[in-house]
Amino acid sequence: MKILVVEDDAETAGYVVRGLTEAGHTVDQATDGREGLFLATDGAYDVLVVDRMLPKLDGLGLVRALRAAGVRTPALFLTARAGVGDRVEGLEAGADDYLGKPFAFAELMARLNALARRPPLSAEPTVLRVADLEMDLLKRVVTRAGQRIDLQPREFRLLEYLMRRAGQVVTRTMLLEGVWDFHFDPKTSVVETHISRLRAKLDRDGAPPLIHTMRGAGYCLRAPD
Amino acid sequence: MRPTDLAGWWRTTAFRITLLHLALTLLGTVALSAVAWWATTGFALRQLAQEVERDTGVLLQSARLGGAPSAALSIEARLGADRSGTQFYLLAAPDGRRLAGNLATAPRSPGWERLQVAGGGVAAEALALGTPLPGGGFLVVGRDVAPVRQLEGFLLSAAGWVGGAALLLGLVGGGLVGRGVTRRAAAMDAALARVEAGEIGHRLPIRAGRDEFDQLAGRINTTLDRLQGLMATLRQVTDDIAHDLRTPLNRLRQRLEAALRTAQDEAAWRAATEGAIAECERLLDIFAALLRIAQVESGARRAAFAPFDLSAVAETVAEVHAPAAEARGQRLETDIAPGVTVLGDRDLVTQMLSNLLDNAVKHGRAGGRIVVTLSPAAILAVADDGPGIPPESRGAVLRRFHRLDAARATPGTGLGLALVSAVAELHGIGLSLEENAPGLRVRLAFPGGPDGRSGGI
Repeated sequence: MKILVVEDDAETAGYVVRGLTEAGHTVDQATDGREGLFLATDGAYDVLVVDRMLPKLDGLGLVRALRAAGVRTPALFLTARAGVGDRVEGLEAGADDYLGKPFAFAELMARLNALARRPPLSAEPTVLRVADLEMDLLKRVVTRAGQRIDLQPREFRLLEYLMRRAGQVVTRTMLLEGVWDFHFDPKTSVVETHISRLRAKLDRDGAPPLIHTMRGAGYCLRAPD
Repeated sequence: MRPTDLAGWWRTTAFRITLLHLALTLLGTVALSAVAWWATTGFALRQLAQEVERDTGVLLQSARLGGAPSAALSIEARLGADRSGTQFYLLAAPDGRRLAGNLATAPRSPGWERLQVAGGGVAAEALALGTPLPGGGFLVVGRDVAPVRQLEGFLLSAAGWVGGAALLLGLVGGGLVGRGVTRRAAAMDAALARVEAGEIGHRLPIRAGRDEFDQLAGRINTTLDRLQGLMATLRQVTDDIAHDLRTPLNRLRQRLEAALRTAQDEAAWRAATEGAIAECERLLDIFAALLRIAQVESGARRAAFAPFDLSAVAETVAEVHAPAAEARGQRLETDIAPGVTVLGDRDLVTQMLSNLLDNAVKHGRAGGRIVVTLSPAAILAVADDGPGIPPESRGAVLRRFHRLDAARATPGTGLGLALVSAVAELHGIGLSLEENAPGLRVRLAFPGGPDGRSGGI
């Protein structure tokens, strides 16, 4: 992936750039909003990481300007201002995701991957498929190898979230946000409990497991190796 | 500017008002005098003219009936009776000879005339009417206008006296009022200066009169009360933070020092680092919670209020905490009325309920029962059957970092209920901690319901 990091704090920028480079991505860096806007405008990046508080032009202004110019590159706000209103404000400005500082690097990586590979909204599928697992979004029916699986509404939402991001790492926080609408960590094992319940229902009769635990990062739904 | 500064007295509002008041008084006096002058002297002159006309008429009549000698006789009789010397006559024969009267000469033109008369050594001004007589003679009848001039003079001096008195009264009154205003402003200024100098408990004096100054002073006092309250809260929070963050920071330091001293291999270093990161994580959680509470208490979030489905939020929160309850062998029961909609910040209310359930799970009895209820009237309750909170501590637990002695052993930041309290305050939710016999029952009456405060939908 080609990633642009717009961040004025040298230490955070170094941490992010080093991590992304080690993960095999091409990373450019800008230290103020205007430079960031200049670099991002040609649209050659797969994803943008933007700090909210930047010199010369702040993050909100940068993303607004980009969106006004028709640049649709997915953008993630990285900021110490992670209050409730700030998140909504950031998303309204045209950002696609929001991550409060301090953050774990695995969390940032998972979110960037999810953003960069997000399918365009126009191509909304009605049936999701991973290996022999099938989810009909209209009839709200899930089958594995032709066998119908009964899911609770929350389990259905969880599975849908995972299937839409099949092959990608999905963190606990992403699941709390996407499946439970929780924008803070309730410090309970609700995610783990639901994942294990879902596994039990999906992998009946010795079928190979589909949901994989990525240690220290999260979960990944993909076809068995 | 201080109203007490002598050099700036002419800049005070009181002085300006007095000046304006005086100018208006003066203008009023002048205008009134002008109108009075015009009305009275005009009237007097008209009276004089009427008298002249009447006299002329009588003399003409006399001349017509008895000829010029008769008129001359009448004139002599009038002059004989006039002691004040204000009447002037001239009866001239057709050849210009004076037949009677006290005027030496007079213009022989008919109509009104102002005559300068030198009568008795004193110059006088007369209003005269000339009339030709049948048969060629000429009659002039005049009256001295001195009484009118006297009246004018009298009016002018009266206006001067009245104006002067008004000016004096205005000055005295303005000075008194101004001094009162200045003195009260100075008193308020002095009181505020004491507050500014650090005597935050000092208040402005309020008299029994309840005039606008007292109302203003009352409002300023209320504002000072609020400021004092906020400052006390700020000091409390600062103390709390300094005190309660020292503990985890100390633990972190001890952990790192111990690692420096004792760690031999990479595994030990790794374990120490992971432990330190976990400790940092806890510290960051505390900061996040503090910031969140501060943000909620500032009230800025009220602008983002929108109606949301409280029933769905309650269901989700109960579901999220179910595994934790299960881990402690607790039964989590829900009785949630569907479709209850309230106005507020969905994220904050979610976190508030989550904190309440977290408390119920942690401090409730292991193997006990937790009940979440939501009535159609938007009254939400979370009840456990743990040790509960003694009535005398129920106010204190809503404060930041307050933890009951019994709860010190369980993990927690001591900020959960403080956030609940702040969110309830922001939404106007009636929050009460009640006895569940045994255990604690937290009751939230959302606005719009029968017990909630106003402001709901």
